[in-house]
Amino acid sequence: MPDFFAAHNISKHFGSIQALKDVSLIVPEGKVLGLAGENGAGKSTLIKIICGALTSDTGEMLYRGASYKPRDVAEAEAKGISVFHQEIPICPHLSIAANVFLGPSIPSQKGMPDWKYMNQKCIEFYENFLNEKIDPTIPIGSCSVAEQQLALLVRVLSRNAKLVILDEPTTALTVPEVKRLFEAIKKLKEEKQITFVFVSHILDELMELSDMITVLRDGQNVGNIEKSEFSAQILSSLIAGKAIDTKRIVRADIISSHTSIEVKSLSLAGHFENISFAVRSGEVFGIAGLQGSGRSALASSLFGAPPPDSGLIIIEGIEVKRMTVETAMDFNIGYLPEDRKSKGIFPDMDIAQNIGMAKMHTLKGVRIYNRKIFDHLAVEMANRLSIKMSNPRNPISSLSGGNQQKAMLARWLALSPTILILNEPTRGVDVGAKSEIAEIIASMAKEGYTIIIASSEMEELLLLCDRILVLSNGHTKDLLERDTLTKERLFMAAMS
Amino acid sequence: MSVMGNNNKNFLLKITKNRDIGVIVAAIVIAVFFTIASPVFFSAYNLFNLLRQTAQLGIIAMSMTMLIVVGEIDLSVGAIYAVTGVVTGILVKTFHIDIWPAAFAGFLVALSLGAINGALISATRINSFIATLSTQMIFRGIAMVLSQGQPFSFLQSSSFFNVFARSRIFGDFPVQIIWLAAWGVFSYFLLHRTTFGIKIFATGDNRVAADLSGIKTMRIKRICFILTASAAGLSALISLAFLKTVTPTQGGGLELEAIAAGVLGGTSMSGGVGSILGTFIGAFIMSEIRTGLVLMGTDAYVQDAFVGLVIALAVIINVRINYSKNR
Repeated sequence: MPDFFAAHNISKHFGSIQALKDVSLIVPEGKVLGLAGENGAGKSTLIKIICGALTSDTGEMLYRGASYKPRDVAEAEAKGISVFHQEIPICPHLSIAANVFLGPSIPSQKGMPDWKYMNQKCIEFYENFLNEKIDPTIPIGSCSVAEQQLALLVRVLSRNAKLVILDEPTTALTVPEVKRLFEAIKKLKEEKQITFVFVSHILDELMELSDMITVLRDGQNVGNIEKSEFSAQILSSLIAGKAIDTKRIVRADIISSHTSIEVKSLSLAGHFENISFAVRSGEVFGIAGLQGSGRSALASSLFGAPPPDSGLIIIEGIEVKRMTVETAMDFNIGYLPEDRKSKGIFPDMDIAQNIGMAKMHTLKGVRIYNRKIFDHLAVEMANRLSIKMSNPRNPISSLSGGNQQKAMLARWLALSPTILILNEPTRGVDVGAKSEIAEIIASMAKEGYTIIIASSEMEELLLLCDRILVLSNGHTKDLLERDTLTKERLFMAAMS
Repeated sequence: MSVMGNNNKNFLLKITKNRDIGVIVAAIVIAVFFTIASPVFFSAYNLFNLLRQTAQLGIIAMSMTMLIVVGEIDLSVGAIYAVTGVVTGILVKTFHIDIWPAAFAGFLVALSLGAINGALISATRINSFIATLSTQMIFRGIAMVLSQGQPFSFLQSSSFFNVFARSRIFGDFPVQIIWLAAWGVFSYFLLHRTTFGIKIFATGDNRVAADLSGIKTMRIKRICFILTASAAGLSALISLAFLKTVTPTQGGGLELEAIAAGVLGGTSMSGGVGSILGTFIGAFIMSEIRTGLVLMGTDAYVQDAFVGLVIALAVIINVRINYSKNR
């Protein structure tokens, strides 16, 4: 009997980057295949190829014994392969039934939507697939996130999906909600012979739900593990790779003994709780953790956006009771936000204005805007950070992503801050700009800046940081000092 | 030859890069059209007349542009315009106060109504469209109650009337144009030549990024509300001095005309983009069309429809230009 779904020697490259290299995997019918790997390992590319959003350069896929080459997502869905995304695409004000049936052909009668049919059918689907009784008329926006996901699962299944790809479905869920989702998936697997590919960062979840796990690293399949061999140790070392990184920038002699910023039992409701640490000047301090671990919120709360609910921040020996953006700037703290597009860039303004915006704040009240001063500042910063621009008056949108990110960094360097908080400093930039930014960060530390980096890319943290605080579910999981700072330990702490 | 072509191209590129060029060309095209249709249109007298008519709308529209650039809107300017006139009228008529201090008091009332709008929006964070729609009705109601629905006429003579509307400088030049020019220059410098103006653009362009750059975006918005209300107050005093009468219903629809003038001038309703010069010319175009149609002997009832048509055309062209720029 042929395999239910198999991929053989799939390769895919984007420009000069090889995203997937000869990846093969087999998904048996009625099982859950876990797919593990860190950011950039090629998981999303592989999923997109399976669901028809991308086509592979080489390699072939077999589905139920026949060659499978979807041209687009619709064709893949028609054949019974669907993806289930991280962000849930729902219409919150419509009922569960409406969300289940939403699509190009909503059941209708005489031009009006046939609610009676849809509601009846929706109840049947829920009973059939999930063994649950529901009221299909309540608006989906009033349901919990897990219930919304179940509704989408029903939606996918009602369209005869046989292979469902779950792309990090648990990121937005609480622990009991995860349990509920898992129960539903297990039941579907056993009773309806539905097959799943389950993508997750969280090792415990992978091990609980999967029948086998395939690990990707640097675009390659580095291991298939059977359920009997599951262990966090094996998985994390496979995900992280054994290679010892030699690139790490060691600067032990430069760090002073002088404490620049100290944090005592800092909390922000719903994000993080009781976090304490201290950073010396000249040190690069990392904050690691999965999405939703409080990593990003902690970084931005140190800058007062929003101010932490309780706890103490001590800067240069001065206690700050309530940290706001203004106080932070008065204490000479700079902050690079995690999402350049929504929180950093002024899209309709020119490069000089984008770079000069934080400096503008220091010019209180109404003052003449001397363009030449800001043009000059932009040129100076461009030289210092090698931002490739032809004219400071050009729109910021004329720069590439990497140069825009450097311009965001320049915005804060223009104020010569003593403490610089960088939230995802290299997100959305290409590999070349990534290493340039890493070099800039390293040289800033050398100049005596105190640098705090929050990043989802652990490689980046390992490369740059002297110490790394690992968060999990809003709590301190581990604080890795120089001598305990290994890749395996970082992955173990963050992922389990 | 090819070099010439290149130079021409560069010149064209430079011109089309200027955001205001479209509306300037439109103003000229419309002027040419009406001059052909009715030669009286292109005379010094008519030009002054046009600018005089632009004054009241133009002053409000230029400040409204700042407010739209910062990402807010004020639908209550027409009502503030009425309250200013009515308060001044009552102080003069009922309390027999001299018109100068009365007008000053009226202006201060306008200013504080703007502060109320700003405070309302910063305290409750309601959408300014809804918030100022309600204050529009409240302020209009105040004008109605204070005046008991009656107009006020001013029969006395005072230097006030001359200073705000009645004098003609150098024989033909109406003084309103000076007010328009002064407010225009003030607005232009504030928005385009000061750090405060840059902060206005930044706030409207990306509010979150502006907050994270240390800009106090709420304070900037509040100041813009006060400026817009002050413009409505000034405009009301000019109208009062010119007509020597005020009515509690005056200024109805003025807010929408002010917004339309801004949009004609290339202001983006989503904030972050706009120009004082563009808005000024937008307001001028609206006067051009109304006056031109009158000179052509067109039915007065057609005018509004025609102005509406021009606005729609201008916005369509603007959207197209922005679309092609972003591609």
